[in-house]
Amino acid sequence: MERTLICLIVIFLGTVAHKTSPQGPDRLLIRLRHLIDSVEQLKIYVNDLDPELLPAPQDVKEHCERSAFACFQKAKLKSANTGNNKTIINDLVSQLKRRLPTTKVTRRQKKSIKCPSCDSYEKKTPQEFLERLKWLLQKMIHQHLS
Amino acid sequence: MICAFSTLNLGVMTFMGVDTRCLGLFLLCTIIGHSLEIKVNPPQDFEIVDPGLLGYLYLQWKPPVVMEIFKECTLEYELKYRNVGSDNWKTIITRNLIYKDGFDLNKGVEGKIRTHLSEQCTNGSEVKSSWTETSYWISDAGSLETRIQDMKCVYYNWQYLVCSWKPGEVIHSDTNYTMFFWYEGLHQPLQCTNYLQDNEKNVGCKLSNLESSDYKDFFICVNGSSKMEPIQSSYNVFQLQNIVKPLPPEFLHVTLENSMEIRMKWSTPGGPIPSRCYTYEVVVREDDISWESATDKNDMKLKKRTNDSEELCFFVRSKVNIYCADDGFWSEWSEEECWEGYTAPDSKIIFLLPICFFFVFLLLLLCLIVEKEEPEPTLNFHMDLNKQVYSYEETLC
Repeated sequence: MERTLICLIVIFLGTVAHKTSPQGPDRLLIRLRHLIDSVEQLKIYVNDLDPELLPAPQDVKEHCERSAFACFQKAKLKSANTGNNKTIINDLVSQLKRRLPTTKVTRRQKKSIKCPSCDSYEKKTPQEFLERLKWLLQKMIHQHLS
Repeated sequence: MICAFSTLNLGVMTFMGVDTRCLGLFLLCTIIGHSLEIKVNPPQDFEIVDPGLLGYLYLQWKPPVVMEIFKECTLEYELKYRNVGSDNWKTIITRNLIYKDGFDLNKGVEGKIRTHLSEQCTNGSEVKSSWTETSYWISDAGSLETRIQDMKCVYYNWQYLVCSWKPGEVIHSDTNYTMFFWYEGLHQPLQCTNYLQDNEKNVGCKLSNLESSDYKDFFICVNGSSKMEPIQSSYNVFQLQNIVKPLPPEFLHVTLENSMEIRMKWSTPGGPIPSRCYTYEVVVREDDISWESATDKNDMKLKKRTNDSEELCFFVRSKVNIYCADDGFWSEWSEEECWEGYTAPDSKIIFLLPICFFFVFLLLLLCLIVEKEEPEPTLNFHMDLNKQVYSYEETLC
């Protein structure tokens, strides 16, 4: 009887401890910050990028930030055929295309909002594309932290 | 075409008696061949419209007249635009018939546009039309000297926007300025309701409770009125998160990790700025030598330069980091926090003193308890024990 009681107490303490333990690292924040670093790096190599204009969302409406980011990811950003630094650029571009970690908030949002399709956004130069991507990421970080 | 024409001439000369129908057919072939070179018209009615939003302009156009075969094709438009006087054109490609963006209305705006017909439509290479151009200057009266000067805007702690300006170079004494602002979300431009004044003349404006105003273009117009002459307006565009000046950090703290390492801590300033949006600059002064350091965290560990420094002080200032904004202003420096002269043994004594006092207090308490209890135990205890207790008392109190 006593052993059962002790076991129950231990289990209870274990569950409480698990809940009150510090949260794991904020994976979404880490990824967004890393993305900004990647974009800043790509801006250095902008002259080695393929000059084709790419769809770059701007004036993104509330709650459509994730959808706009997905549009940035779909864009065919790549290094120029004759360009140098191909490996670095391809590596940075693949960083941009990794799926973002979700949070409880974003999972709720996904179902309810109707956001513009990627086709409806204007195409811009790679330089402008990277600037707008950075601004969207800054906005997403601020929103996530607020 | 020249070759076809010379061939035709030759044909006419050598075959004088040829059938006119053959000749006609030949002519028709050359004409069709010429028109097979695909052309597309530029867009129609290209214009720049100012909806009165202090710099947010609509560049709009209508689709060009196209040949029947291309009516089903999706046309794309290449639009270039810039402020008059700027070297670089900004380019966009769109399928829409309108493009909206923020511009600096202090200068004129010019744009040019052409149609693109895609490869799928032409069964060959992409075809582009010629350019059609337009420009826009805001109709503004008044000379340049009447316009305000040195407009400065700072978004204090991401809460209060304060803009200030100096009056125009050459203005009459009755001139007074008014400020309007607009950002997406407001139905129309609003006037400032809280002016900063100097001699009853408006020299600035304080705005607060700007809901959902960050991460988008913020437009400002300062115009003026005077009975003697018209006043030229001045326009500004910026994004609020890039002009933030935070409050300085508070509750500075210096602690010793061990004899050579110090840890400096501070708390994030109060307000709406998230703590992970800050970056800090720390200046440490050890006796007469100072040095600077930067961090994104709320604390910093440093090795002391010398073992026997007498004074160690630091102060810190904050700014919004690059993960939340492109730019910003540094806050004012915090108050200086110092750790004044220490040696390891001293600190140990300071630490031990309260413990000693505590033990002494415990002993006194024990003494009192034993004193009170003495009458009873002496009755029950053996003579030996009694003596023991007695001797114990003597040594203690």
